[in-house]
Order: sequence, then structure tokens, then C-alpha cells
Amino acid sequence: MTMDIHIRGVTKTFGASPALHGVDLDIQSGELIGLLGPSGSGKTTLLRILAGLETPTGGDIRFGEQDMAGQSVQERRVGFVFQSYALFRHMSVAQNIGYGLRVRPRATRPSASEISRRVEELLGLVQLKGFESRFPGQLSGGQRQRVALARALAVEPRVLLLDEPFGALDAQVRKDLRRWLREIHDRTGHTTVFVTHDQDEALEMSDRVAVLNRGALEQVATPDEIYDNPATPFIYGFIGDANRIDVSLRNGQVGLGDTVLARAPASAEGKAELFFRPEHAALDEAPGATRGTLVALRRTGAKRRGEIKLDGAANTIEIDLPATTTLTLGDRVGVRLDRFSVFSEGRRVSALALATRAA
Amino acid sequence: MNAPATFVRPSPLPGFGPALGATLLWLGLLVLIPLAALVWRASGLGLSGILAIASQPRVAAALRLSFGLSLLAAALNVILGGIVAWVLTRYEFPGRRLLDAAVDLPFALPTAVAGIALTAVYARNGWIGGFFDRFGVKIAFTPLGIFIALVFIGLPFMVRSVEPVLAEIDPEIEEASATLGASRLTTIFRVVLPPLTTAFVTGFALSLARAVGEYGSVVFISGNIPFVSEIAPLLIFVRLAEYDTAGATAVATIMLALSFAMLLLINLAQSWARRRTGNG
Repeated sequence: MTMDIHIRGVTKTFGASPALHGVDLDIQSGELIGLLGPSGSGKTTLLRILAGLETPTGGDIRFGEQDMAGQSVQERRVGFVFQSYALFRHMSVAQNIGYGLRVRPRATRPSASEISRRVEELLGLVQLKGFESRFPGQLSGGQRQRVALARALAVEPRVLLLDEPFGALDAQVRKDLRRWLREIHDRTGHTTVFVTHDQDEALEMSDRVAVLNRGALEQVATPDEIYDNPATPFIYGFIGDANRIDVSLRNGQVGLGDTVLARAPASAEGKAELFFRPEHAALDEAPGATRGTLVALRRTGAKRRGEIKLDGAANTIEIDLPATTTLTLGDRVGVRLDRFSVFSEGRRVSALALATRAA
Repeated sequence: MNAPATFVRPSPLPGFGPALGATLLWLGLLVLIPLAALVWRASGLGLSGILAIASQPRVAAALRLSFGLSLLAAALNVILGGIVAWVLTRYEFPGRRLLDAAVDLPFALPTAVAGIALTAVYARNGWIGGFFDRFGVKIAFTPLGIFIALVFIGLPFMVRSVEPVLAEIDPEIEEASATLGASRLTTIFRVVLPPLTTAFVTGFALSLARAVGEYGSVVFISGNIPFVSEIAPLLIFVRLAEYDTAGATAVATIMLALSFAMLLLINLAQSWARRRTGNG
């Protein structure tokens, strides 16, 4: 019943401004995928195109083998959950959930008793038994969103699409619902695409995360891959904390001042940017480590953040230090980078991962 | 549960006494005392006297015409006003604000001006009246003309009642309905219109009330032919001009009673609708 989705070269232009340019994405059957991006990145547009609520300017969408071009919203059989819930305020919870079944043409409409059986079942799934005769106005935000999900699931959708489903909820409710939605997904196995601008939400819930920026995909990968090996400078900046320093590429080496940080293809020459996360660096007194001066120290939860001015770097960097550190401001330290990426003109030029430091 | 029974529930807002006093004073001076005087004058006739006047053929015809056409006009305004409100809230197009302002014209226009304008256009030698005249349809100086005038003055009441409620309805509920497989028509009848019921009833009531009492814009286009196109408010005027104060009072009292009964009914319908839509 549930479907794989193939997106090929999808573009969308609103007036003169392009919202999506040439998005390719394959979503496997039963996968939970998060579309992550800042506002205006085109993520909601892509989701609405999948639902048939927007028409793409170009490109193809296929559900399984079936081309979606020319298929109306009604024909696509998608479950769509809106950020604003979009519940029918004049209908009770049970009527809302059963709506998609009641509006079917007579020939395919289940009997009244079958509909109420199905509604009952879904109320159980979304843990709202006993709420069937309430109206949406009498529910909390989290409960409303659960009704909206049950309503979307009632029509046995081929694909479940969620647009910032928890965007309007409190932080605590949002956390609970994330976990709960993941459970529901694992139980029902729908191919699910959800849009979010919240990186924690995307990383925590998704099988894979698709990061969108300015209407184009930056990277599609597992949360681990996205966090540990960002493919672009944008993702370093957008997801998690990151340090950026200007480096130079010379003779197949990545250099900061006189220190050689890593190897690079010999063909790469000139200026480049090096990115690393605060937790992917450590203090190291070994000779050859990059030297710097500790200029600030802050407490962040379980750890401390040390701000270090590396010799030869224009700006300071931040690294994680143990809370028990005895360093004081002005101390000279050596810094070892365990994981980093070097980008030249937006392209990754240095293979970086663990333990490929230059000796 | 044994709190002392007080007339007014304590409120942090000061000034309840003077505010209620002023409210009652104005309401009394402007509404209750004049109406009471009317009823008092009419009571001199006795119920049988009033009924006798009401059953006079000319009076009965005028009352039937006034209330019948007002109901019809308000009913047509439900459809027209609904469409206008829909267009104004749901579409963005050049001239929308201008159109929005134009809706209020029947509110703002002196009714006599509206009456003369309508008569000019719908009379036999007018633009629209001339066109229909070719098919043998007379508009001005017939009940049809009165009907058009009543629709004209009632329209803004309907639009302004429905518009704010419609604007508040999230267009996403229509999209939600579509993703659940509902056709456009099903969406309109099951999702868009039901929450608007109370707004439509309010608009209907206001439009009806205005139409029943309308005088200025009707007298020009109606032709005022007794038994054919003479409305009840005009008949009151005619009776007064004939120094038949008792007759005028009787017609006025009947109109008052009928209007009151209709508004009461509409209010009941409204609270029923509100309960049904769960907005209570």
C-alpha cells in the first residue's frame, strides 16, 4: 500500500523568483525522511508539490511506477498534516477523523459501522480514546495535531506528508510528539516526508535528512552523516555549531600560517575555508599541533567552551573542554583537529575524516 | 455553595452602576418609551380593533407585500452576499479594495438617492428597464422593482456579517479537505459553509429587518399602487396623511409584532446553529 517516491528535476517558479531548481530525490517505501532547511529554502513548496497542492514548473514526480503529472490532489491519496492542524472546527473529533471516508463516492464508501470502527481504531492509535465527541476548540495543541494525524491516516494514504507538524507547539509537547510520531511510523510503516526548520527534530526522527537551501538540495544522508560529514559549508553553519577558519592550499597541503593541517589534492591551489565542530577538536601538546592562545572560557551544560585564537588565523575558534579544565585565560595551548572539512569555492577539496591529520 | 446571592456578580471593572444607568436611560428614551407609547395608543383600539384593521384588504395586501418581499430579498442576499464576501476575502485582484468600499454604498447613500437612481435605471426608459421591457418585463412600479430595491439595501448587511467570519476561516481547511479526497463542491458544502451558518443567519436577520422598515429607496421605484405595490411603511404614512391616527397606529403595531416575532425566531435558530457547530 505504501509507496516509494521518485522526484526528478523538479523546479518551481513563483512569478520571477525560483523556489526550487532541479530537485532530485528518491524516497524508499516505508522511509521517514525529513526535509530540513531555513525558511524560504523551498522545503514546504516541495512537500506541497508532492501532495498536488502546487503544480511544479518542471520535472517529474512518481509514486511507485505511477506518474503524478495530471493527478489531482484528491486522486493522489496522500495524508497531509498542516502546521496549523487545519481541523474542521464544526465537526467533533470522530467526525474529523472519519471525514475522508464519509466523502468517498457511494461505490467505495465504507458503511457507517465500518467507518466508526475505523475511527475507533485510529483514536486508539493516537491515544485519544474518550475524546471522540469533543470539538477541536476544546483540545490542546498537541491533541489537535494528533487528531489531524489520525484524520490523515484514516484514508489509508500511500504517502504521509507533514508540514512543520510540531511548529506551533511548546518545546516539551514537541519533544513528546516527536518520539510518539516515530513510534507511530514504525508501527504503521507509511512512507513519510516531513518538513521542519528544527535541526534537532530532523536529526532525531528521520531515517534520512534532506537539507535544502535556496531551492536546491545540499545533502541527503543519514543524521550521522549529515552531522559528522557535512557536504557543504552551508550545512556546517546551519546544523550544529561549527568553526570556520581561512586556510591556504599549497603544494597539496592545507596550511594555516606556517602549520600544515592536512593533505589536499595537488591540483587545489589558493584560498580555502576549513570547518570543524567544537567537539571534533581537542587539546594536544604533541609537536606539530596548531598552537594558539585561550581567550575566553564559558560553561555550556556538562562541558566548557574554550575560545582560542589560533596563531595565524584571523578569527577565534571554539572547542569543547572538560568542565574540570585548569586552563586560565591567556594560556598557550596546542589544538588537534580530529575531523574537519576544507572547502574551496564551496566544493570539498580535502578528505578529512578521523585521523588523517598531516604528520 | 452558600455565597450570598447578589444582584451583580463582583467585577474588577468599576463603574457598573453609572454604565448600566446610562444604558437603560438611552434605551428607554430612544427605544422603549416610543414603542410603549405606540402599543399604548394601539391598545385603545383593542385586539379586535387591530385585527379588524389588519384584515382590511388594502392593509393585508400591504403587509403581505412588505414581509413577503423582505423575506425573499433577504433570502436572495444570502446567496449574493455570500458570493460577494467570498470574492472579497478569497481572491486578490486589482480593484478589490474599491469593490470592498462599494459594498457599503447602500449603507451610506441617502435612501432617497438610492431610490431615484434605481428608478432611473430600472424604469422603462432606463438602461436596464429598457432592456427588459423588450421582453415585456416591467421592473419599476411593480413588486419586482420593490424586490430589487430591498435586495440593494440589504446586501451590505449580509456581506459585512459573513466577511469577517469567512476571513477567519483558514484556507488550509479547504486544502485539508481536498487531500482527504473531497471534491470542490463537497468541500464547500461540508467544510466551508457550516461554520458560516450563524453569520448567514445574522446577515439574513439584519437584511430582513432593514428591508421590512425600508421606505426611502422603495417609494420611488414601487409606484405605490394600492393592492399591487404599496408597502406597509408607506401605508402608515398614507393613513397619517388622512388623519387616521388609529389606522396608522394599528398597522405600525402589527408590523412591530411581526418584526419582533421574526427576530425572536431568528435568534432561536441562531443559538441552535451555534450549538450544532460547537462554538457555544
